[in-house]
Amino acid sequence: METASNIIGPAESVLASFMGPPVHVALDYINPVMNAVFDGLFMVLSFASPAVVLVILSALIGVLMLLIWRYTSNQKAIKDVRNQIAAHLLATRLFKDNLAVTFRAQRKIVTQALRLLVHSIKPMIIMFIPFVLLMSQIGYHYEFRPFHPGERIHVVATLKPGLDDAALLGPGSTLKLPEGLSADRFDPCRAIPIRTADWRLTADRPGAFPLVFGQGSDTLELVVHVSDPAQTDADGFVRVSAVRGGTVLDRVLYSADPSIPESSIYESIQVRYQHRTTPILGYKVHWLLSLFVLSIVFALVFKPFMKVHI
Amino acid sequence: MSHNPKLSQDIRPHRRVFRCVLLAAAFFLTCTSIADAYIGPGAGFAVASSLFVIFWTIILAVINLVFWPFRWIVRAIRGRHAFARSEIQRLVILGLDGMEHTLAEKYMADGKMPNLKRLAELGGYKLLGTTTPPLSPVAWSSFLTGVNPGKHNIYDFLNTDRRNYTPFLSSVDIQSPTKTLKLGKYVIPLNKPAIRLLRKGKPFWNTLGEHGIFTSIIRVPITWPPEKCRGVVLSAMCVPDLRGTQGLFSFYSTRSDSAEHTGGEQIRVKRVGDTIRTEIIGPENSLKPSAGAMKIPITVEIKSKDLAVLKIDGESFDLRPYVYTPWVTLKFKAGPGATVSGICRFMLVSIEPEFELYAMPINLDPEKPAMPISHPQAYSTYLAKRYGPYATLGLAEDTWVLNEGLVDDGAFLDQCISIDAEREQQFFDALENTKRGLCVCVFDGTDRIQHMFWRYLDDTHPAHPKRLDPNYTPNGYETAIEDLYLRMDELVGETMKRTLKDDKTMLMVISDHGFNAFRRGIDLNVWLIENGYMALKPGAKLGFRYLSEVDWSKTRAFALGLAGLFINVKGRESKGIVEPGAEAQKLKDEIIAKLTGLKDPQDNQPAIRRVFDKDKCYQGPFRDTAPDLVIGYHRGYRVDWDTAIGKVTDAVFHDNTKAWSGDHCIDPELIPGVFFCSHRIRSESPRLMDLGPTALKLFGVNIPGNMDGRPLDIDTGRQPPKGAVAPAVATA
Repeated sequence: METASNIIGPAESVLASFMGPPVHVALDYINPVMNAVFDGLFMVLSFASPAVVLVILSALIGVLMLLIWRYTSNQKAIKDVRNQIAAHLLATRLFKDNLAVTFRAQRKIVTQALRLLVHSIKPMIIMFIPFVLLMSQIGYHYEFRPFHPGERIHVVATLKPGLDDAALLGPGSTLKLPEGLSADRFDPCRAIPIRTADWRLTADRPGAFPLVFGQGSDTLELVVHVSDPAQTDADGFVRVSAVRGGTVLDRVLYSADPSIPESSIYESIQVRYQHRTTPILGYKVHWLLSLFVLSIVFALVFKPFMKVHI
Repeated sequence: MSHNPKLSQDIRPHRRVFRCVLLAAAFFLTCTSIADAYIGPGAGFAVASSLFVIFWTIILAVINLVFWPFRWIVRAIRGRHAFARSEIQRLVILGLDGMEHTLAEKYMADGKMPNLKRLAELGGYKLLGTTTPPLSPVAWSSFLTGVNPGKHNIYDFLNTDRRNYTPFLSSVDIQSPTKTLKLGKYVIPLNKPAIRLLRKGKPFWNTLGEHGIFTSIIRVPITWPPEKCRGVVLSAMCVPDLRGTQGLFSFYSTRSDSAEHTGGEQIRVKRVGDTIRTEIIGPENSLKPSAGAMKIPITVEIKSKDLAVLKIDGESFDLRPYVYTPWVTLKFKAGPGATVSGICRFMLVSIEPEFELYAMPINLDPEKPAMPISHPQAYSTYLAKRYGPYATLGLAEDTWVLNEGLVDDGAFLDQCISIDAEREQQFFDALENTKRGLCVCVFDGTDRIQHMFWRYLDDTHPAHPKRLDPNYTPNGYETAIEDLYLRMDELVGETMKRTLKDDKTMLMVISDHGFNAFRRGIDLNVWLIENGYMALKPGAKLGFRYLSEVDWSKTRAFALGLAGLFINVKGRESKGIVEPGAEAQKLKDEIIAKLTGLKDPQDNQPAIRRVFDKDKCYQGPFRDTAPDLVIGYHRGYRVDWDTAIGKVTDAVFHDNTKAWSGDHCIDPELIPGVFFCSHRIRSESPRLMDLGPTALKLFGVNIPGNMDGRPLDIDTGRQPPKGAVAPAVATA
């Protein structure tokens, strides 16, 4: 997720220019609701370990996916296509001595598979946006882990384009450090061409520490989480927000904090957390992969009961 | 076009939202690296499975290509040079059950059947000798084995159990699993139920298969249970319904009078407001015998005078008068995790004044059949997946419901036409997949429609609508049989188009027998009583079934089934009194003499043309199971309905007023089938049982010595290749 902004190429800037405002407005409404719902959900699930919670979430997502799929896709057409694929697969077995029939059946299988893909587009598009929001909420708890005492914390503030160098040298590089975090050197490292100011901090003790950037009325806050490494399970349910502000995509992926006001000199503020791994059955797997596989497995298990064709 | 500014203003915000959603989706989809991860579970479903299918197909194609040469070598060795001595590459036999030659000739002469006429001109057309008796199970058994009934053991739909004088299905015997495990109230079968084919003899396509020739056999009667062969077989006649019968319909009615129906059951339902709740009765629960029959609750909600909604297992189906629903899958729960699947179609007969709903017999689900109905077993699944559910019941067209007068002619006709349409898909699919080898398909609609609509062709028929209803006015079904022949002609035309593109394929269009009127039924048991050959128990009341009130100690002969008479032979029948040998023969001769030329007192015309002695008309090891005498009725006559099921009535002759008004259970000489061929037929008097040997000869395969049929001389335009067989034929 931290590389999101780097990966997105010119497409984003073109689309963002006319997509940005409505999406920002929409997210201002959606994000608080999503945050509240998921905070509540994680509070309810806090009795279990992060791995167990991930399994439960996968099951819920599997069911949700099936429901959305059922009501947004052309179930009859998908069933027909699936039947055709199965029929042609059987044909390759039944008429295996006839090479022409076998190849014709295989050609039809590929054609039907492509049709299946076409039938998937509509539900895929409809499912995409809510699932991105859903994933970002889960990502807060599983993508990064809080810092541990003694670890180095890398903080980057990016200013809006068009500001003069003075903004970066002056108020833009002001950081109010809370107790519990310390800095080797209070002055940030500034990169004027890319409008950023970097701080290297150290976590002194566990806790949630608000970093306050800027001066006067133009200040922004971002909380840094530091936890005791001995209590790893407890870490699982700490909502770790690594970015505030940024591009439209950043706003979608990191929706825990409110948007940066239009009048602010900051474009975004990032804290570079360490990635977390949530072991499932002893295997260290990225949470997204676990969720991906498990939710599909659950969906396949529930599919016959919910009478959904996928 | 007028423009409404207000309307466009109203729409604008929605369009904007829609555009935003589309753009947002497009935006996220362009950010592929992130999108791939977050699209994950949502679309991962489809994308992953589609890609997997494509990937798997490519792997399969590669495996096929790699292994094909090896398979070809193995096949060549095992197949003993299949097609090396063959005169043709493909033989297609299209069976039109019961096509009557007089009608076919008439319609061809009138120019109404141009395709069959063209086929006759292209190759040839002859009458095709049928079997004694000319019944479909007998005739098709002789067709597929190339032998007389004495060798294939099928003489009728039913045979008689000599131990207790009761009828049983002649072609198949189903036994429950012999090993079971009792767990509380559940009985778990440890082996499969035994389904034994009683038809003897080997289908000629099995002989072809042994020589490496691929065959596709679609719905040829008496192929259930399906036998292994090199190719595919979809079974037909005698495949039971899910309840184990040969077709039991259900008729739901709010009528208070309880009626008994042959071939079906009437279920009384109660209408509460606009809702009717009832159950579909399925098969007995063999896992939990104490539970009785398995049932599925259904609800019908009446929406208007001509619309109701049928709800089954969470699915809804619109019901409109005289319109069939599509096939509905019914899953009967036998126990935890155990279901038995069937398919059924429903038709609303009326909503007011009485609610009436007709449910066809529950067919085995071809996708997951409770019993094997094809070889390989996956073939029935393949067809169901490819073309959707289809009728699997042996006698798929429900003639009984029309015979019982519960639905009208149109409803039955629709059913037949839709079943023929399913068959057509299966046939053309088989043609597509059998570019070399044998393809046989039988259409039964011709038989069923003629059985039920012959009364319209014959205004002297007791069941002609004008005789039953003085106010009768033509209703359009007068041409049902002509329309049927025309439809079949179109089928032949389409088949010719698909098969006769080159000279490698030979097309035969055949029927197993012809058709005629069934105006009067003859109760042979009454005749036997009147002539002193049979006696009833003292005080016996008429109306009994299966000869239960017959005094066997005084009975020398009895009739059961459609085909003929049995002598009550001592040592063979459990209560036999006629000494075998000379006494039995004398009795047979006596009955033959008396029955031959039996006259109908109504018009003094002969009703029985000939009586066949089984010892003279059959040869083979299974001759003893045949009826001792087979009756060759005259045109217009047949055995009476009641005699067939062992009832005794009060008169020898009865008018047949049922819709089942045409039949073919008469003297076989009067009712030959048809034989059209795309190549010139040089042989005179071809017979149905000659076609199997002919097929073997055409493919250059030796004809087994036990076959009674002779290979026909058909001009293939090619000299038989060197080494072609001079078949050893045992003539009948």
